[in-house]
Amino acid sequence: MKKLINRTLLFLTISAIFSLLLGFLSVVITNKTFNFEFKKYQNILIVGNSHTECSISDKILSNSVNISQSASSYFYSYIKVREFVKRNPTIDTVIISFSDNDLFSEKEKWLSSTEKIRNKMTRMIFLFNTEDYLTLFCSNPITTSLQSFIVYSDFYNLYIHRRSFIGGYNQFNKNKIKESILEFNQDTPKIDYKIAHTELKYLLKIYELCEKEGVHLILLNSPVHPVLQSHFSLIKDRNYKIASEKMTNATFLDHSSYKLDNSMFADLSHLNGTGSISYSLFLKSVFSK
Amino acid sequence: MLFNTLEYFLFLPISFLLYWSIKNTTTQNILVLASSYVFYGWWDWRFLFLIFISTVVDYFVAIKIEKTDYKERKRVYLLLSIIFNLTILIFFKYYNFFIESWVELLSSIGYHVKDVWTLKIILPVGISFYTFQTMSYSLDVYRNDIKATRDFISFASFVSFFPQLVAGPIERASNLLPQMLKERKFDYKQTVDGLRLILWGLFKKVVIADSLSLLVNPIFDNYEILNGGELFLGLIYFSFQIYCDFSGYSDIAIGTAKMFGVELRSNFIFPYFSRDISEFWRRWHVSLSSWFRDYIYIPLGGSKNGKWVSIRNIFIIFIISGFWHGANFTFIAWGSIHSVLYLALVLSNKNRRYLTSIVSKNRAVPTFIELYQISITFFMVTISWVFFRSGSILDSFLYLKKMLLNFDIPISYRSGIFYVILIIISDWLNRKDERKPLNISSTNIRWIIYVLMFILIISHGGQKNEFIYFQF
Repeated sequence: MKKLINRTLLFLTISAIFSLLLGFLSVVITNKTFNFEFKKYQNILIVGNSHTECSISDKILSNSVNISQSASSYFYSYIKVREFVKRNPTIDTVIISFSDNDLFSEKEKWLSSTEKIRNKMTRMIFLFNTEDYLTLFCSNPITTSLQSFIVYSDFYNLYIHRRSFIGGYNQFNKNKIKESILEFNQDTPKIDYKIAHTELKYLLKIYELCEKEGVHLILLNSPVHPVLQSHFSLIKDRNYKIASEKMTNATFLDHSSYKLDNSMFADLSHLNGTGSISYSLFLKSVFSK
Repeated sequence: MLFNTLEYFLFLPISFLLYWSIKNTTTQNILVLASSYVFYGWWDWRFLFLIFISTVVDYFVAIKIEKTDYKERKRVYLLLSIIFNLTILIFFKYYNFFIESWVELLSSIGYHVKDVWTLKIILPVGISFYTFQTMSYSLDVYRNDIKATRDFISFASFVSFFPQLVAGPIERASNLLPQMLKERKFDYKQTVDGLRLILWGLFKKVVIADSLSLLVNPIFDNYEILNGGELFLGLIYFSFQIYCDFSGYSDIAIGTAKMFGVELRSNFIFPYFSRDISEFWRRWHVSLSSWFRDYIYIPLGGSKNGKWVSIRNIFIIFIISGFWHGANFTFIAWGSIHSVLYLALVLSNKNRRYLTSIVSKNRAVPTFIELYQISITFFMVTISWVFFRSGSILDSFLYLKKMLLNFDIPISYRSGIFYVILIIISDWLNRKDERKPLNISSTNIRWIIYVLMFILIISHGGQKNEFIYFQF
């Protein structure tokens, strides 16, 4: 039995060391080979969660690059803004999703939950600095430690999918608005007045970073279905207050009431392909003014 | 609890160390029983009572069968066991299917039923496996093949032995129960063999099957818009996905049992190297096919009562086998296709040509004829998988039609070819002994391969995909 335990421990130790080395190597290679650079005419960076991911087509708003990704905490958006702005001096505007429910306290989990760390850490770690790693580690030490041994696991995906693996415009080809309304009526989500402090902290860090780099920050409340719009109206003022008091130079674009047919929604809070085309054309006209 | 989870990665060493720290066989069995119930209850503790009741019924029924001298009474007790086990199986697995099929049948003749009493029944994991295992015990006692045990703990450990509880191999009491009753001693070599099998099984499941599933699912979901070549790839991928998924589970089960000093039966013996369908069924899900052979086919008369009886019996076991896999007509169609393919061999007296030896046992490469036989058999098996995988029989036919009539060079979904080649080569090199994978003489090379496989398993392990056979 002693021999078995010794051999097993030796095996696990060798595997762990090898994994860490492989992870380190994959981070270095990805960092060196990843295409951070935008085209010269692309001056708008779009980050955030599924709201911006599904609503803005960067093919239509052609001077923008959308690297939003669903269920992204502001922590990851901050890292993206920091790294892409640093490498692309042409960026003068950052659009970030700032929907009515983006600061609900449940969004704290978007940084610290095991599920989210498993989904995000290995695909984003090549952008991390030590502070980012420690932040994540403090939020969930066990999962972060375990994920550290498989940092290499998304190396192949990053190589194949490149930038789209960390975010991009997502054209939803579905319409489940009827089911969503039914679900909403059966189980109406509660308005959460508590704030996700970590999320707010990183949103403010994004603002500070933009201020420092001379980049204009746009907080975008993207279109939602009228059912959800009236439901969230109770919380809208709070978000507006936060934006106007703490991010004075940022622009708060509230397009939540932008009119779209039912057929243009994927669900109550996301646009589908046709909805996003319509909205992106509208946004293009806004920016061209 | 799934084998491919962190929970199991912690559960296994804890149970293993506790188990070998105990010297007494009864206490070891209590620990096996407790571990098995924790393992099963991790999924849904409410269904533990089903295993427990099934255990209690068959324990007492077997004793009653043995005690009584009257054949009629023995038969009554046996029927009690069979009816009980089949009732819980049918209720949980087939109730809604029967009701819905009945309603469909009535509506097809113009009678529309308005209120249908269907239930929202969850299928208890592994129910098809452990009910068959306990039934076989009562049947073996009835046939005087084994003695009924009076040791309830050992019997309960045999029924719920966690490595094979939820997806087999379906063990026979004659093999597993004596091992539960006798003293077991720690054996370093056996444990290492077990760990090697676990590593290989996890690799097949997590790295190969789960990676292929990422290609198979979109292909089957969008078959209307893909070309025939891509559908063909999807079918090949599914063949290897289901093989690696299920044989991977069996390898992990056999390996885990070895760590506890228990030897389980082999369940997959390189089925895709079979030279005809009858050899395929001697190599694919062996514990189930031999169960059907011993408890249904032979009692029905097997092949000894003339050709027509033999044909009838073959149809019966294949259709039951299909139905065992799930409450859907697609599985019955799958079983029927195999019965036709098998019958063709029986009628030409060619069903017993390859009874034991693996193809090209003493050669590095197969002969041209062997390669042809293997390819044809694989092709037939693969075509039948369409019915197994599709949602309906209509979908299966449309898939095949699109595949054959719109055949073109596949332009996407080609990345799975790598996994297919990988498993073919590794199985071919290993084909002499299914219980000794990764049998490489050089220690250094072996360890490098272990470490690489382990790293790949860990990196692919985030998806936590269930094993396909969990649904059966």
